[in-house]
Amino acid sequence: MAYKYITATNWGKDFFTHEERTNFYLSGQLGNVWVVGNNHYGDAWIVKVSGVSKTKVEAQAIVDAEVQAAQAAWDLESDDYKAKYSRPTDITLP
Amino acid sequence: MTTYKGIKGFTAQTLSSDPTTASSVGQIYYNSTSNAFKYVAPGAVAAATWSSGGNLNTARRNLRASNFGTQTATLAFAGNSGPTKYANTEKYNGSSWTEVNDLNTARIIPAGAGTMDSAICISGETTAIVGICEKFDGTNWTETGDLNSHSGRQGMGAAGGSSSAVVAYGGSNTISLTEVFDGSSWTEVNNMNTARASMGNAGISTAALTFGGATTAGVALAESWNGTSWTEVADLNTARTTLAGAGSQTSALAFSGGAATGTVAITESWNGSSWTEVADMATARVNLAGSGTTGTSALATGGNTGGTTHALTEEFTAPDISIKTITTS
Repeated sequence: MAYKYITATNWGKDFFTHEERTNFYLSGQLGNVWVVGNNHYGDAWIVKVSGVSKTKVEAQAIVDAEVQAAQAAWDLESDDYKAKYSRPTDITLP
Repeated sequence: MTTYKGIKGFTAQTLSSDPTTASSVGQIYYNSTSNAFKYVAPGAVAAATWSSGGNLNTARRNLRASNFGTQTATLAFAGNSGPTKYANTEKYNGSSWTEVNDLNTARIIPAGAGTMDSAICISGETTAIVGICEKFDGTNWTETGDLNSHSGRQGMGAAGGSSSAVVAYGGSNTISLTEVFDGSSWTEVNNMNTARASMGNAGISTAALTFGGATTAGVALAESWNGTSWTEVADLNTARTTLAGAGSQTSALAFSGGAATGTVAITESWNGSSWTEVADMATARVNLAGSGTTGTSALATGGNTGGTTHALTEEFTAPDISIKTITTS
């Protein structure tokens, strides 16, 4: 398994550092979902940020719910708004 | 004659922690804490990463920053979250954002230029697109000369090293107009080669770079401004719009944005002649703000991913040195 999936709230400065970004893959997604490289550096970061472990299916469901809510909101917008801003697209986690 | 040194070589020194200074480049050593042989390579933009910075006090998209601010001194202003348009202005000190005096006119999608204490907010949309410009002196915003032409210009680009020397350009897929600001009034000058909006921007009023943006779709085009005219330069590797930029005409970064594949976290580094992909941002987003004076140190803040508006900030830093672990594979 190349990645682990967690939820954690980005508190700002030093939530992830340059050194950490050098040592493992990290991608922030909607719903405070984080895709984390599966190595011991990534594991240490998950502990640091008090990450709540999710399966990939659970993490994808969180992201899907956020996207679907945004799509529903967009569908209710005016034609002028829709002309300016594109409809939120689905996101598939790696 | 055979010597001991010739057979055995030098003994690598043992260090309990990695060196941190540029003077150690070329050094090979054994790190007794991590139990690994390592060496010190020169730092480079290729070794740069994005780290998290302090969160904005007010999450927003379609905001702008003082484009020539730094990682430890940048101004962010305007923007929206849903239907609420903000006049809010915040200063960044390298670790946290502090609210300061608001713009006189709340708006979204202005152009922004200058530094933290000498910034300018150009045009933008209130209930309609306005030509109103405001200068920030470190404490207050004061209205200054309007653009000559603001109609239809949504997502204009700008670059400037202060609030009194700025170039602003583009703003729609039919507008390539360029105007320069001398601190009190705007003057029309030579047009961009390709009309577009929502570009990434870098540089100052006499040496600027604009890249990406949208004509009828996201583009990879880049143009360089020499104070008199625009010249097309090498394209981005990934066409995109509503991205952000930072740096100078010869050392710049393009990051995040909306591409054909969706919202991307891709970062590209400009060395004066070509773009190279470097480390991705952690959170892909559009409608964010960028700031920075070189392509080795930049700040990205705000923006949105789908319907989620961010307060998130990320800091791009190229290290002076790069520590490499020697492996046997």
